[in-house]
Amino acid sequence: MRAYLVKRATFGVLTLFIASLLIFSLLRVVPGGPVDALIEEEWDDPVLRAQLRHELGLDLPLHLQYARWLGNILHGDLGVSIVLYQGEPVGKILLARLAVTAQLALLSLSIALLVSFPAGIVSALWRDRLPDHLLRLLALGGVSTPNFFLGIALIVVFGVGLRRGWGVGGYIPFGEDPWGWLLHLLLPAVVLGTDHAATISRMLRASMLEALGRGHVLTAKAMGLPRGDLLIRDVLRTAMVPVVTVIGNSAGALLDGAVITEVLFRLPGLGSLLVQGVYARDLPVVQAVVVVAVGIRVAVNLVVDLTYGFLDPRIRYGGNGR
Amino acid sequence: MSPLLRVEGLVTRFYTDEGVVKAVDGSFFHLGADEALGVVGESGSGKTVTALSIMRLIENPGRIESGRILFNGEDLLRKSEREMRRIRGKEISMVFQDSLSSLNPTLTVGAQIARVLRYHTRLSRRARWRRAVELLAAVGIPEPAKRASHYPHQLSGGMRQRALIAMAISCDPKLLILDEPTTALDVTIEAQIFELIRDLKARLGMGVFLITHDLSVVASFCQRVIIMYAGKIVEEADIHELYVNPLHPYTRGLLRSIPPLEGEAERLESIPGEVPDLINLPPGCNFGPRCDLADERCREVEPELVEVSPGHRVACLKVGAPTMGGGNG
Repeated sequence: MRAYLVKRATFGVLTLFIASLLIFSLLRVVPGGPVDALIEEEWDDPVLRAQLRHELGLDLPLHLQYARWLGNILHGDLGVSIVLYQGEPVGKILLARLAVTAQLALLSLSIALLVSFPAGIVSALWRDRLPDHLLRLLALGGVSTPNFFLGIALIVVFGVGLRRGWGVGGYIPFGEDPWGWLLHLLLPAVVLGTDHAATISRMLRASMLEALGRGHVLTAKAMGLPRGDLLIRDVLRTAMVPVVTVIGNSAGALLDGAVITEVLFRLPGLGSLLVQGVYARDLPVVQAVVVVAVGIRVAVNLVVDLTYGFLDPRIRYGGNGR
Repeated sequence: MSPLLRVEGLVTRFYTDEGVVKAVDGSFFHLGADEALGVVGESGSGKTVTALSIMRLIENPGRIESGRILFNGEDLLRKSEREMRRIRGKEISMVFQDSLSSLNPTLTVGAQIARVLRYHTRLSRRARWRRAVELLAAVGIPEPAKRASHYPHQLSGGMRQRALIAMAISCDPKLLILDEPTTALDVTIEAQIFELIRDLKARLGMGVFLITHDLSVVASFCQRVIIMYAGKIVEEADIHELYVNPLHPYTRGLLRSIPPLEGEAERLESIPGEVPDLINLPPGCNFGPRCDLADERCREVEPELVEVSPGHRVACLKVGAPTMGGGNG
């Protein structure tokens, strides 16, 4: 297990490195750059451009630019925003945005788990009967409804339709107004949560059905074990590994920042920062967001790997270790 | 004295999309408190379904349609699910064939045994673990204290089967059902496992219901045997009687397909044809299409299980008449 984790961690670092290289190169290929964004048309002149490029270090050869950027990251310096927040350190901006995204992610994931577990379990236990059909239909709907659509629908209903206007859009820190905080995060969290709930419950149902057919479930029944114990220790626990993979994917995706949902609800999260950064050609910001997002994914995957070992001793002890 | 188990007219069917599978079709048999009864037949003959019916573990789309299953004189088919849970694992236990899939991969074998004790005894947590280790020792697992905290995949096939047996006997059941307990094991281990079961049976005094497709296993272990074919009991006899005087053509076919231990084998024979489709059973005798002796009447009349001599019952129109009942087997 330890060797396995070390291997996975090494791969993670490698992934991060490749991702940094990719995003760096891609941003250099994209037409337009921060200088275009910074200079107003009437002031445009080649000398000013050259001077700006020099000041920003954009006149250096690409490999030097990359090396300098990477070196700074290793020292914990993600660079300085060029366009969006001129002169502000990217690390600081990112942290504030990540806090919002993390709160949204936590709320969304809680909703997803609270919905998907009962739904998946009921679906599996009442297989092919009415509750199962209804829940599966719902899950199918959840998977196939685009987030932007559900988001807009919720805004229309709760933000516009309700007599007593439910403040929709924007973000209020928890410390300022806990109720307002919840109101503003709830709708986007419902949008994201139902999306992931559908995926998780479908996986849970399939995995539980497989587990229900396993021999040890029959043995447990033949030993007269009560249904609850059987459900938890024989069915759920052994059905968990693929489900944890899906939950990990969801957690990773949520923490990376939900671009569309954040933009839709005007939440100052990681996803909306990415979009703003791209529009403004704010290279350090975009690069940092991508690297941090990939880093989060790598970390979440490592946690998922650890969970496998906890859930299944065959993974913990490896093959046939006696 | 009434026997430990008496099954009367058991009918178990499965309502599949393809049709109704008559898995067990009117079984009558009994099993004594200290007896080992063998049930022999090909796969699909209804052996396992019979066992699962006794345990009341038949699930959708299966249904026990009729009959009585008297255990210590009480009809199990009239028990509530709650009452059945108290009987399963405590009064009646079952060991399945594949020990790897039959054990929970996420729990140590000790924990799995202790778990059974938790619901059927009043032992404390520590006493349960101690008892689990004792049980592992009783089924001949070396270093039981260490093995108890091993996971199934860390044990060999033979040891896993022993652990499964330890779990099944943990609450001193009156009846132990073994469903081909050694098919996944090699021959030397198989002999050891039967040695163990024989020993446990003598020590604990329980009835054993042994399902197998191997007549030679039955010969060395059971006092009486039931032969099943396509959901029906076709012959029942004392093990000695069955070998000396097999009456049903199917039983004879089975016996001819076993190589003798001594002397020259004339020729090992197989039974021609295939097991019939349990959804579309042939009219008359189920074995008719594969039987050399079958005639018109066999294709029309369903044979009843009749007693031809004390304890020897057979369902065949060609036997039972005095002309064939005697010692020409």
